[in-house]
Parts: sequence; C-alpha cells; structure tokens
Amino acid sequence: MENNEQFLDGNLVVDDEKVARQLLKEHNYKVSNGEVDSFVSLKGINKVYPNGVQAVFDFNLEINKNDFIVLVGPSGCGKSTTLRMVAGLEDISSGYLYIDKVLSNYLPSKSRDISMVFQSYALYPQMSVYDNIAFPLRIRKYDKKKYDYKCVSYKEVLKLLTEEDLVDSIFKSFDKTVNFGKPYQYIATKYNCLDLSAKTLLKAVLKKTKLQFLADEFKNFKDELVNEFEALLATRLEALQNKGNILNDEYVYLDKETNEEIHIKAKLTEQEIRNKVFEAATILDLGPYLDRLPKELSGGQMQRVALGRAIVRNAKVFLMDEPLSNLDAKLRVMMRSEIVRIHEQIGATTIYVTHDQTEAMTMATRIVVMSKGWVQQVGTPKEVYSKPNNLFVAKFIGSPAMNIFDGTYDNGYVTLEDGFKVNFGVKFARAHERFYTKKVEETTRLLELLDTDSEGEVTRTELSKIFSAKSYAKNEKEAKDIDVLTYSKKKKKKIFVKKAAKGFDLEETRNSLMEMLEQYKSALNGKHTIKLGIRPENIHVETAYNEKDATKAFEIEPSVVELLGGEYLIHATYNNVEMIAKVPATLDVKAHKPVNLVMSKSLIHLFDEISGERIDIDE
Amino acid sequence: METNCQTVENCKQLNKRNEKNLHLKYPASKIVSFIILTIFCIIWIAPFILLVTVSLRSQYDAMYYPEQFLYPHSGYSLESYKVILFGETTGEQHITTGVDYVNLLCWVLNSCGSAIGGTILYLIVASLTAYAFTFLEVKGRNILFAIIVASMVVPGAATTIGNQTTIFGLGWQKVPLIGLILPGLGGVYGMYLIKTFFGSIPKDLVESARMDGYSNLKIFTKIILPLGKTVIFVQGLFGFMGGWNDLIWPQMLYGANVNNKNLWTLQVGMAYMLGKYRTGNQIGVSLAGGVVCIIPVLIVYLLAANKIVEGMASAGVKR
Repeated sequence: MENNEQFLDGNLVVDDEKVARQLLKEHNYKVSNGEVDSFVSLKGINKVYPNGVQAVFDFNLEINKNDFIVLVGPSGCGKSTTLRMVAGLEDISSGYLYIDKVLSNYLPSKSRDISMVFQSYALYPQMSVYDNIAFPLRIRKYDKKKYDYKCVSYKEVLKLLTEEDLVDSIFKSFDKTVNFGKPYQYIATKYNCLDLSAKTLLKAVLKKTKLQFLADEFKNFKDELVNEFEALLATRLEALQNKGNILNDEYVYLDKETNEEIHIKAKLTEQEIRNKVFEAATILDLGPYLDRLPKELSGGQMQRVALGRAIVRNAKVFLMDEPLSNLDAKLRVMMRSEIVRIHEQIGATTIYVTHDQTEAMTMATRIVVMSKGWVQQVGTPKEVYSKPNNLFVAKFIGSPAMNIFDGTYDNGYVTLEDGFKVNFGVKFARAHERFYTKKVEETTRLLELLDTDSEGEVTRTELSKIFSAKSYAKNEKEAKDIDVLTYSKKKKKKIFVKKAAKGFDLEETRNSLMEMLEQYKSALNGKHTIKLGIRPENIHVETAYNEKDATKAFEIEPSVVELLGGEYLIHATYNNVEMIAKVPATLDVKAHKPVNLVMSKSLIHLFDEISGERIDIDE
Repeated sequence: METNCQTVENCKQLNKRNEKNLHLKYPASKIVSFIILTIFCIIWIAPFILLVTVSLRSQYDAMYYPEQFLYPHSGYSLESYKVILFGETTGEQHITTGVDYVNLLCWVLNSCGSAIGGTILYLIVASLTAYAFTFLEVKGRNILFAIIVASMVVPGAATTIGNQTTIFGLGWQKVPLIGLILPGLGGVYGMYLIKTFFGSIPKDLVESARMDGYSNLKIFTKIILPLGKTVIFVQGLFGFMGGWNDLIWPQMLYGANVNNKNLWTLQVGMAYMLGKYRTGNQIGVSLAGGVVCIIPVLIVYLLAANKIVEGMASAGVKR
C-alpha cells in the first residue's frame, strides 16, 4: 500500500458542510468505510454531463474480489461512462464509489491503484514492447526492505565464484550470438543475482586478465579473488557498524530501537522491472516480441501487450474497455479465452465493458446488463439467460435473439393472434395475480408521492421506477425522448429537478401514472395483452419432441432454412413476427415446406406489456 | 503490320515497338500545359539564378553587360563578396563600407541567436501551451483558445509599434537579443499548429499514463514530445526561417542605433549596406548580400528536408 496516511471514518457525520470539506482535505480525500462489505462497491452512482445529458442513472453494484464483471449493453447505454468513472477519468456526479473500502470519488485515478486496458490499446508508438510494459513500473514507488546492496553484492560475488560453469558463462555473456543484452544482464539473469553483483564480478575478473586468456588463468587468481571479496565484505560491514548501523544476516538495515527491518519507499530498479516484464511476457507469450515496436505487431499481439501493461503492475482492479472490438472474429474468440485464462491465473478483480453479448456470456462471472443508463439486470450468465428480468434483457442476451409474440392473457390461458392457445395453469394464474397486485400497489404509492410532494421532489429510486416503466411503455419511440432527464445547474442541491427536466412535466407524469394504474388494474381483473417470449432452441419439430411440457403444435412455412453444421435455423413468419427456431440438423426441414413446431411450455417467458417486466412463476 | 511478321517473335517485337510509339505520342493538351508550366517555372526561378550569377560577376561587368548573365564578359569573380564581407573597396567606386569584420561576425551571431534561441524558447512555450489546451481539463478552455486563435487575424506589423514602445520603455533596445526574441514568444500560429497535431494523438495514451501515476510534465516529456517531434520540428524550422529573415522588427529595434552596429542582425546590416551603396550601380554587391543571407537557411533546409516533408505530411498542414 502506498498510503499510510490516516483514513477518515466513512460513518462520521458532520453538520456543517465547511467542516466536512476541511476534514476531507486534511485527510487527503481518503475516506474508508468499514461497513462496505464488498471489494468494489458502487452505490447510487449518477453521471450528468456538463451539457445536461444524464448518462448513468442510479447504478448500484457490489463486486467481490476475483470477480469478472462484464458490463454489457448497446452502444450509448452508459457502460463505458461507468467504467471511466471507476477509473477516475470522469467525475462522479452523485453516489459513492468504494474501492477496497476506500471512498474513491475524490481520489485521482493514479491513487486508486487500478489499471486499464483501452479499446485502442493505448500503446506508446515510440516505445518498444518492453518499454511499453515497463512503463507503469517506472514511476511508482514501492515499499521495499532497506538492503545494503554493496554487502549483498559482495556476498553474491563470493557465491558466483563457486559456480562451476562461471568461466563459460562469462564467455557466453560477451558472445553477441548468445547474449543480445549487456554482459552483466546475462550473468545476473542466469544465476539470479543482482545486476550489481554481476557488474562487480565482471569488473574484478577483467581487471585480472584479458578475456581471451580467461580460460587458462581463471584458476590461478580465483582464490585471490575470493580473498579480496571477503576482505571487502568485512571492511564494508565494519565501516557500517562503526557508523552505528545494525544489519541482519541478509544485510537488511534494522531499526536501532525496535530491531525490526527498515522499509523504505523506492522506485523499482531496472533489474526488478526486467524480471516483472519478463514474467508478464511469459504469461502472455510475448517473449520474442519484446524489442519490437507496436507498429510491427499484429492486432492480437498489440492486444496482449496492452494486457501485459495492465497486469504487470498487480493493481487492485483491472478495467477493460471493449478490448476485443478491434480484432477480427477468429482472433476475438482466441483472445476471449486468453483473457479468461489470464484472469484465472492472476485472479485479479476485473470489470469488463463490451457490447457483445457472446463475450459477456462466455467470460463473466456476473453480467450487468445496461440500457439507456439504467441497470436492467445483474446476475450470473446463466441467470441472465434463463431468467431475464425484462423484455430488453430477453431480447439482448442470447443469439439468435428470443422470439417475442403478442398474445392475450385470460385466466391462465395465453392466446396468440392466430388462435394458438397455451394453458399455463393455476400456478401461473396465481403468479400473474401476485405480479399485478404488486404493480398496482407500487403505482398507487408513486402517485401518492407525486401528490404529496408539491415541490416535485421524488427520490431517485422512485424516479427510476417511473422512468424504467416509461421506457418500456408500449410506444418506445415516444419514451426515448422522455427518459432523458436534464440537470438544472441553478439548483445544485437537487440532482433531479422536475421543472427543468426535458419532457418531464408533473401533470404529464401524473397522467401517465394514472393511465398505468388503470392498465394494471384492468390487467389484474380480466383479459389483457401480454408478451410471450421463447428462445429459438426451445422450439422443436413436433415429430421429434415427446416431452410432457410440449404445447400444441403450430404450423409454419419456413422462408429460409440455414444449416449451421449441427443445427438448422428455421426462419419463418408466425403471427406477423419474424421468428427463428433452432432444430437438430438430422431432421428433414426444407424451406417453403410447411412444418409443425411445438414449444417447451416450461421455458416460455411471459412479459407484462406495460412495464416490460417478466412475470415470474416461481416467486 | 501483322501480315509482315514472319515469326511469333517478330510479331512480339513489332507490337512492342508499336506500344512504345504510342507512348511517345503526347496529346496536344499535355504539350500546352507543359509549355505553360515551363514559362511559369522560368519566371519563378529566374530571380534566383540571377541572384547567384550576378553576385558572382565583377561590378563593371554586371553594369555594362547585364544580358550576359550566364557567360559573363570577363568571367566570374568574387569581387562583390569581398566588398560585402570584408569591406574591400573596388578601384573605380572609392567607397568605404564603414563595416569591419567584427561587425559582420556580430551580425551573424545575433542572427543565429535570435533565430535559434528564439525558436527554441518559442517551441517550449508553444508546445506547453498546446499540451495544456489539448490535454488539461480547464473550464472555458475552448473559449480561451478561440480567443487566442482569433488574435491571428491581427497582422504582426500592426503590433510592432506597441512592441517597440514597450521594449524602448524597458530600455532593451540597448541590450542584445532579448528585444528580438521576447515579442515573438506570444506568437499564435505555432501554438495552433502544434495543438492541431497534439489533438490527433489519442487521448487514451495520456489517460493511461495518468492512471499509471505519471505527472503532466512527465507525460509531456515522455509521450507527447516524442510523438509530436515532427510537428515541433516543422514549427522549429518555420521559426528559424522567420527569425533569420525578419527585417522589420530588428530594424525598428536596433536600426536607428548606428553607433552600436554590433547589436544588428545580418538582415539589418545587409539592408544598411545596400542602402549605403545605392544599389543601382552596385547591383552585384546587393545580390551578394542576398546570397549571404540565404545560405544558412538553405543549409538548414537541406539538412532537414526529409524531416520537413514527413512532418508536413503528418501534421497535415500546408504552408
């Protein structure tokens, strides 16, 4: 840890704003909160750009150590903005960001101890791969034991002199066909000793004789050298002791009073940097490219260098901003598994941003699906796939996308336009009732809030409900304009000021809420429209499916049948919806030849048409 | 023709010849454009040829046989250079330059000082300004830069009087170089040029370095400068040429001070000498002065020609 300074207690409450600011400044904006459980915690984060556009609404997420979180959503949904806020490249308009229990809202990005892989890789074109990877290591100061390096090097030289193949190594170190670096680097790497030791040794040896006579004469002066260095070591130790320093057996300085090893903050030496870079290069398979310039690398290699630069620092959190989007399809698949492998190897907490749902599904331990600045669902890939919260998630996750049909619900039965009828049974009818009762209650409460609050101040969470409801309202196009809130600069205390909000009219909101309430009420009592969703792989050819949960068959005429190796993708129009079914390629399916299909009833998702939310049977 | 050819080989050769002939036939439009271009080329290059050849002729020769500029009547001579560089008088004209060798050395040094020193200082100022305007988030940054760019509309000559008043008020007309260099440091064009180039450097590079813990100065020296060296080089060259060729400002600053010619730059000195000679009958001397002034810039340009082309291409700026 870089910061030994006192942290401010995050639970401290001060009345006066001025005092609070003063306190923050005194503690260098370092606030820690013991009550935050998770490793990285985002609480109610909002982002409003200076031009009044709000990019992120009420973002809540708890990230545990070693998690691989993927933020996924269509472009412009605020996922990159969220990532940049965590990185400290964008200001956080409101909310709290804790990294390792430290409030990081006000910390500059360099103090957050995070590393980031950019979409463009951000490699420095003028530096070699080695320098690029070493770049982050060259500036920071690290906590190190205070060694007396001279003593250590004398000791190591003595050890080196006992090595049998030393003469051979010295020859090799000067041989440009074997060693491309400096001679001492070769010896230091080979015997795993300090650069300084290798340098001292080479200097001493070459002082005795020239390189070409070394093989013959080394034996003669070896003992002499040993004696010399023993003497040097002894003198150095004595000199240090005379000055009043205490060293332990490893030549680490000890504190005079407590007898503990002294730690100092220092930049890494070139040798330590080299070791770390080599280590990272080994993990990433970059060894042969270390002396190349970025422009001489392929896209995949550049990508790996960017990863190398991120992992070499051992940061607390890794951030990746669409790192694979510049690669071709094949390489992307390869790098995907590569990143997962590296993540497993080094176990770093990672936040990964992508617009590609396949990447999200394959890499994440948890997925955060975002749309229009709102978090739609947080869950494991499996959860998000099999239990999508709402229509957006259902459509966005999964490829080919889920088929959505319009239907009418009546007392446990759902009827599609052409009369195709599915009986969902009593259990679903109960779930349906539960769902709409809850919705009615919620909406009523929101309306009450609107009415009691003459100033028009509604809390963020409530607002989020109104707006997430609105954005799924029937006509999504209209909603698009409305769900962008604007930020009033004049009243800075309130993040949301309704009067200034674009398209946010109190009267209008009330009216639309009333309308919604009516719709919910009528839905609760009788027939109403509903959305029926089914994934392509859960539609089967009737003759080949004998499970109990099969629905009645329906006939379609495939317009296109695509063969994907093991499977057919059947494209057809059913109930005016372009639908896709995925069936095994062993079946006899041909375009323009009508075929009877059935659905797995248990895997059909039903969505409320007003809010877009899924009606969950199991709740 | 095909009927004439006996073998396949023959045929091929004939075809080849035909192709060649076709290739040599220039259409009329090409010939016309070639002629027009040649004329313009001569018009533009002729002064330069005249400059060099006439400066290499004896004064008598240049005056009485002006048409023989490529093959002088009495051969080439370094007479004019002797006059301009060492103040040697010619037998016929009986003039003294009043300029000695020490003066000339001072002029060259002053010119070098103002051109090189001014350029380096300006590059520091301009590149730091460009960095700040490109990579530092400051409120009102764009408005401020718009104002700065707008000031480019004001011609340099319009502010020289003000500058002169300031410098004279400070008494710097008696001090070498400072007065020459200082007013130029506020020039906007270089800032604009460098900023445009910096703007094309991906911001990710800077953000990444900042996240790694690098300070602005380190980012500037380690990343931005190496990446922007071409544009800085181009601006440096423009600056050098501008500083070297400038006449108005040095003359306003030091020209009146005939007693202390050591403060002059080469341009001022040359202008003074040419004026004194009544260039009408001393045409060779004045042109030799021109050559002397050109040579250093030419050398710098030749040394840097490659870099300039590269830099201009990457900076995307023509001038």
